[in-house]
Amino acid sequence: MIWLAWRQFRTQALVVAGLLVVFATALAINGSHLVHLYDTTVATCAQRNDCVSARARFQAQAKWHNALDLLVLAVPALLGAFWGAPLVARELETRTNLLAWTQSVTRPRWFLVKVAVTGAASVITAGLLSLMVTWWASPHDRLTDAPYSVFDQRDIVPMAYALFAVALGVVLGTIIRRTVPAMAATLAAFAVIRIGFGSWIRPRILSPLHSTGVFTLPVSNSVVFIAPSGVGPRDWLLSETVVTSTGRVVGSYDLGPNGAVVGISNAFHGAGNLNGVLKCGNSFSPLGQAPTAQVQAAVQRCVSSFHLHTIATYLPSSRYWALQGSESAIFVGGAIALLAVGLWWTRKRIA
Amino acid sequence: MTAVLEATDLGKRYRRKWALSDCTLSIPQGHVVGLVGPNGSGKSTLLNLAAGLLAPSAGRLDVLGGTPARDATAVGRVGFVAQELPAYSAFSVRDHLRLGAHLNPRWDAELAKDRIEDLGLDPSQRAGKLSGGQRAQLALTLAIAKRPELLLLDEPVASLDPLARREFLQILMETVADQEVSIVLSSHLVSDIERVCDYLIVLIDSRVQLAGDVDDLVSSHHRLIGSRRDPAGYPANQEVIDASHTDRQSSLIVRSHGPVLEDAWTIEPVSLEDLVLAYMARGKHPRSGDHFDGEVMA
Amino acid sequence: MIEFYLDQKSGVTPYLQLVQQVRRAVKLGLLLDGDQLPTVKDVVGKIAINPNTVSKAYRELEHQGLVVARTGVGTFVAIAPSDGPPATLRPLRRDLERWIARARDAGLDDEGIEALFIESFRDASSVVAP
Repeated sequence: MIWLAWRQFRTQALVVAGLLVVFATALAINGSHLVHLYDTTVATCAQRNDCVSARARFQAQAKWHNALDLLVLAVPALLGAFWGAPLVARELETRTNLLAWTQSVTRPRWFLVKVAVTGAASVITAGLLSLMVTWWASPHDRLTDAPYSVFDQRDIVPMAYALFAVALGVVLGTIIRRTVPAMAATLAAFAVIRIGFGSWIRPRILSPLHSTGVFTLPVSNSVVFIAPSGVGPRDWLLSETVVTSTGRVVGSYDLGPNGAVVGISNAFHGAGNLNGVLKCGNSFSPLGQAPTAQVQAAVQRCVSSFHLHTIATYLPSSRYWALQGSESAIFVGGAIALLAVGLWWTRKRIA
Repeated sequence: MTAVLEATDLGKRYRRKWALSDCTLSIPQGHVVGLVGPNGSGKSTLLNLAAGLLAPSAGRLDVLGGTPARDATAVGRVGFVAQELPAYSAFSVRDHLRLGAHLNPRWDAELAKDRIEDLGLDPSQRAGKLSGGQRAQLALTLAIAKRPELLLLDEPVASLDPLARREFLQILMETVADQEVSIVLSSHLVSDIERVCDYLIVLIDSRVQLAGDVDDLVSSHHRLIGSRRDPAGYPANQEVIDASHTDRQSSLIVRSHGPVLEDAWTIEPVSLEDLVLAYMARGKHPRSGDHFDGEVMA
Repeated sequence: MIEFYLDQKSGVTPYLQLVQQVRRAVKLGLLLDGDQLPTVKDVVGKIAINPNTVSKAYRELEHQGLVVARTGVGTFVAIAPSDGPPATLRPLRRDLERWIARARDAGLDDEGIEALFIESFRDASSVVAP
């Protein structure tokens, strides 16, 4: 059965292996060039005092990083659609299952071996890809220094995503029985699950830390931006709440993994207190002009009269690997559950 | 004598419709069994159930002494050639043989190789490029070389031209002569069945109408020809399967439960084909079984 | 070796057809004492019929005393000299073959030879019949 599973998979495996070799070569060349550039310009920029320009130049050179991040994001979905969905569906469509199932092999064995071969290949492919891109991006990542912002595209989670996507594809293919609709369904379902997971479940996997601080309003009239207290750029700020000295919540932000605001509570829009606070900034600093030190001091005096505190909920950078491991485990667990469904469906439901 | 297939009130339902119902059969081993009936009568369903590709909705089915496809050994003892003659179109003929060798512990590689050579098939030819007859022969080779005890064929020659059909049946019969194998073959071509089968099952409307040894069936059925008369005038101990009338003459196909005592009838043998057709006609008009020269009398 | 065929329309059951074909061949001298009948596998490989039919035919022939089955070897024609074709058949056949050769030399084609023979046969038969 292993022979059959491999023989069916052979061509696709070889094509992808070839692509990986080409990809690795290109990345190796470009990546070592970037490492060299980093070591010679950015790493030593403090001595020459040209950090801003050195960094800008480096960023310009590392122009592939967006495309590569996108690739690592897309590959698990593609593996799920192209390797997972047709695994059972194509055999049902062409009726070759009638040949395979009458050749001294039971349905469970047929299913499990096919899944094992394809699943292993997907995990390896995604793993190699992640390895290569993580290596290539390491100087760039050192520069941006925000590990959580590229969480999905680095290290071990892409392998778990790939396994999950393949399992999803296999199950959808088994139920839908037609290859092309199953591929479309796999892409759609996987996208929804990944996006939903990242937004709603990932922030709740590990218990975050809390830090409080005095609320300081930076003097920028155009946007109400609250500088997190005790939380650095390498950490993941999950949410921030502004409270009065009595603990009454004045308003809060929820922030997504990349620091983008994903939720604003209503309190902000009607808070008499915060409007007053905002007035602190507005009344002292005319538009467009950088505030003087005097103005800044006046703003702070005005703000502190309200006795506001911030409570930040965050995941420190030290928890990055724990989160990688936990999310991977969840997706692998999900893959196993899906495969159990697929196995049951294959045994019991296919006429 | 052990039965290769034992069914008791076997039934299979898809949503509301019963594709097969109240099927009770005991097929003895060592025969070439013909399964005939109109399209949609349940032949494919029965064969798929026997191969373990379907599970019964009702009743019980034992194949070679146990539930079909219950483990790898059981799957290995039964060969199946599906109507679609499935093959991996990207695989070569040789790949298919390797598939058989890797998946079947009882694979006879030499037999397979000899068959392919005798057929003149190019081992490196992709299955997608084979003609219908060649695909049928490949499917048959794969089923035979695993040395099954029971070989099930679902209308394997339906889509083949007469020459390919004849060649397929020749190979099949050679296999029967060579190996100890029981065969169940479904077809709607009764002439093929007549040639090769020595046991017959007639399925009409998802039910078994007739089952038995061909010689027994042929000797227990007769055609009675006599002057035109009503059912009241039919002989007493004969079960009338089908009757046709002209204005002068009545011709009855009967199953004899005793000798025909009346002189009024001429007795002639019935060919297997006419026998099957008579049962099919009865299955179509179960109440009367009478027809006027091909038309139905209500 | 004898080549069997099956006439599905003849109304004669298959195994009897095979029996008749063997008997006819023996009568015509096409099968001689000691000739081997084709194996069951060979027969069904040529005309796709059930092997049991062939076995049944061979058993019937054995029962009729026309053949003998030797296990592991095959089935062979076993006829006493008196059952064989009458001695007169061979010279008659030779004469016929010579006549056919002469007719061909005279320029007749197959159709002509057949027509000539049938006409003469009919005329001769009508003279003999009462």
